[in-house]
Amino acid sequence: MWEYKKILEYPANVRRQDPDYASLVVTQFGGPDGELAASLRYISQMYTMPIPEGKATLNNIGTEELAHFEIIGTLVYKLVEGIPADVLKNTRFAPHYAQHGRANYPADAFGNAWTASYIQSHEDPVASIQEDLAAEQKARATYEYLIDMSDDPAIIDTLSFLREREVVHFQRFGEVLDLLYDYMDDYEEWG
Amino acid sequence: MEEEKQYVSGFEMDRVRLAHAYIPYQQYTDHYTPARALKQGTLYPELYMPYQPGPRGYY
Repeated sequence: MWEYKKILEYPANVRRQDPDYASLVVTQFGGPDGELAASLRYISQMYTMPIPEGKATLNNIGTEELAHFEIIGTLVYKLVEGIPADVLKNTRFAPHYAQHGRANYPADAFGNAWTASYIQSHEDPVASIQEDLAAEQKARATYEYLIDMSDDPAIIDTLSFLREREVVHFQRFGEVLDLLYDYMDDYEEWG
Repeated sequence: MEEEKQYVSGFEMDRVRLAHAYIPYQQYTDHYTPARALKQGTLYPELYMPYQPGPRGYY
């Protein structure tokens, strides 16, 4: 089960509202390399992971990614909260407003709805962990593109924290990969 | 520039096989204060690799 704390893992502040940027940063909410995809990927892969360190890492990071989903959701909503429709209609956010109003919706920067096709889950643990390493790199790169397109220091601060977490997660998955090699060597010798 | 890169000692090259990916296991060296770690996103100086926009587009 999960326990919920009614605080964000990291503050999500914006200096000024910006519906155009909301429609870009939303890709980390519901896009191919976003936080929802990361969380569900890891939490799905967890069950067949043969070593406890692998299970624990997937559970732990999958849980944290859900907290990041909440941070990005907060950012997106703060960027559009209370802005009148006649302002939104002249921004990149207009199609989103037409379909969802100002409600958050897990979609990418083009408006494509989130899909489980973004993720993979294999019984082969090496295949799954290498997918996870790639996912962390793609998320890091996406945060860098998003940082490149913002001039709001508060948003850049939040995105920089989330980007650094991708670097740390990459390291942790790399360590699991090493443990899996040891496990498989032992299995070949004794199994 | 090269000195700024963080190399990892003790990486066992003799167990490296072809067609395998390896990430060196982290060895504990030092840690930030909890307040700084929560701000930066890592407790460990050797894992703090902030984005520096540039031609390489990477840290």
